[in-house]
Amino acid sequence: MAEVTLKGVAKSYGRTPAVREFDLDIADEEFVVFVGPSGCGKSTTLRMIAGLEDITGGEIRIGDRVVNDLPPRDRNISMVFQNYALYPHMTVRENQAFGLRLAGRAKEEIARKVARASGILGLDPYLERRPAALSGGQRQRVAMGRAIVRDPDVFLFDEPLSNLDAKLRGQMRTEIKKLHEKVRTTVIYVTHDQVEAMTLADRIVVMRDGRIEQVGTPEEVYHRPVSDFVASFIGSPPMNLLEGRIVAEGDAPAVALSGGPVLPLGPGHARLPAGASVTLGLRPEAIAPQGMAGPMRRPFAFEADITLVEPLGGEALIFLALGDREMTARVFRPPARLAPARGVQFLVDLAEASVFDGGTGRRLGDDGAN
Amino acid sequence: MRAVTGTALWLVRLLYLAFALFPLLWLLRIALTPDEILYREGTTLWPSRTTLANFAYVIEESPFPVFFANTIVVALGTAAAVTLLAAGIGYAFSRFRFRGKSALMVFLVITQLFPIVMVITPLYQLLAPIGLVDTRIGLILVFTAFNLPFAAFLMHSFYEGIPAELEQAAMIDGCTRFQALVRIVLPLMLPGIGATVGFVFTAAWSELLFSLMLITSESKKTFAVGLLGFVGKSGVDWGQMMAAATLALIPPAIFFTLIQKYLVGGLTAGAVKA
Repeated sequence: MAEVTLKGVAKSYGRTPAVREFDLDIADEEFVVFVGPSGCGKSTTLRMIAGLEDITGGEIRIGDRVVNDLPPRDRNISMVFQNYALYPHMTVRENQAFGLRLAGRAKEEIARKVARASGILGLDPYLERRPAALSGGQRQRVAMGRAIVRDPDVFLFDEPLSNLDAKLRGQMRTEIKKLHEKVRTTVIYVTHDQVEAMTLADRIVVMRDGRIEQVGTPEEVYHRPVSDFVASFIGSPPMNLLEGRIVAEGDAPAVALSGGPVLPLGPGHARLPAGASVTLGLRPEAIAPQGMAGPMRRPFAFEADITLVEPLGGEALIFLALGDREMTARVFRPPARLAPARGVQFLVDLAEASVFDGGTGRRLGDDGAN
Repeated sequence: MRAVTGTALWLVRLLYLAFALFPLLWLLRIALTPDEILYREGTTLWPSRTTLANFAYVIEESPFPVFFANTIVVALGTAAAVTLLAAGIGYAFSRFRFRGKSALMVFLVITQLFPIVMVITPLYQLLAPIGLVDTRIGLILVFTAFNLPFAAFLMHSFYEGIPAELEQAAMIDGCTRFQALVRIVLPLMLPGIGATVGFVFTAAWSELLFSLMLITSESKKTFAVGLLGFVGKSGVDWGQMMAAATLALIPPAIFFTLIQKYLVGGLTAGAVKA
């Protein structure tokens, strides 16, 4: 068990930078998820921590050791790969025991540790099988077993669920979370799936173009995204992003959506200059037709057309046209009569609104004061 | 319908088999035919009488046992040298990024474009001053040089079939790169190594051109060169030549029987999701 510290870590291939100035402190036993679109540098960062990629600059510490120049085997880490990377010529038992045998551990110790890991992961019936005779989920479990037996300081997961079908992915996600409860170890987990990030992480690191875009708890990243990029990446369906212009300053700031209504903003946005171009971010669950809305802190009523309804059982997605733009609303326990209609009264909770700079996309003002 | 296609398929297979095996039958037929009736009986599928005299002559009286020994030494030496080198080259091409890599790979292909005849004279002049003409080691060197590019490509493609993550997992599990290579990659490479060894051994076994030009002593000849010895001024000793050729088929046959289980791929199945 150990903290992991990255200080100014950078990686470039020739002149192409892949990761730049990466600073992060990961606490002991923390579950940190790196999330971002493909090519954002999240896997490269993980592989640098593992020692599978050299770093071009900066410093990586695991515990109190600088590991910059240590080979992977001296870092006391375990890694689970997207394609499992099980040794095909070894049985499940041998796969798990391989690292311990290399380390020259006693036979009884190896047997005990493999038995424990297999017990936790339900691998006992398959110990004598080769990987080829296992299903995808079982292989994934073996890969995790191989990681557990070595009692590493840090677990590294590189998109471990991407090769599984949706149902299995959900199950394994739960298992990984339970596993972390049982085996309290620092975990660094890479995924492009924001649902995995939200459900698993103590802290989420959103990456973009080789840089950290935002670090925060799932709640922070979801409710207070630092940019329109994070806002659109985290959450499904994504946050509605509406272009507009500040039309009133001072005590009663307001934003006029292009081709839509004028919405009053909270006092936290008092310092925004009139005429500034902004992007207004509204989570789908902050919008609902009147009568279906839950309690709202700063409700604002407007009229829009329902163009499409996607019922999902316990909830429904409503697509609405407001002026020339489309928004998505999410309502819970939708009534059966929900159908496309014109001129429907909607409520939006403006206390939930995020305001981003129209040019840079950065978050503006402080809606904590809303 | 399915039965009909099945039968047709078998017929095609049988036809191909007959086509492929007929020369072998003919080889054996001539080797077993007594000299005096070889021409008299004309073209028949099987002679009226057979004899082992030709085989007896080749084994007991001709220098062929020496030729065979020479060929085995040269073919095994070449196979070992090429496989070892190709294993290293293929690994480097498959796993490392380095400057000029793609240019080097193209260069390897280009070496395969030139007709071998072109280089015989320069090669002779190159080897003569350093005393490698008319030696088995010289022959091994030349065969190794000519078989290496293709073998390296072959090995490269087999390495490509083994996910790099397997080695990375092994290195995280505690292996050095070399240990990962030996304990994880090597066992999975056996089909590739088998294929390469088989390919190179066969090529070296039956090579004629270089052996003919570079070997002059009777005691160092390979069997392919030896076969030409049956072509005399007054005619060709067909029976003895075919008996020698038949015997020459035995070592590769044994060899392939030994390595065939490594030629069967599919060992990596299950390592990663396809």
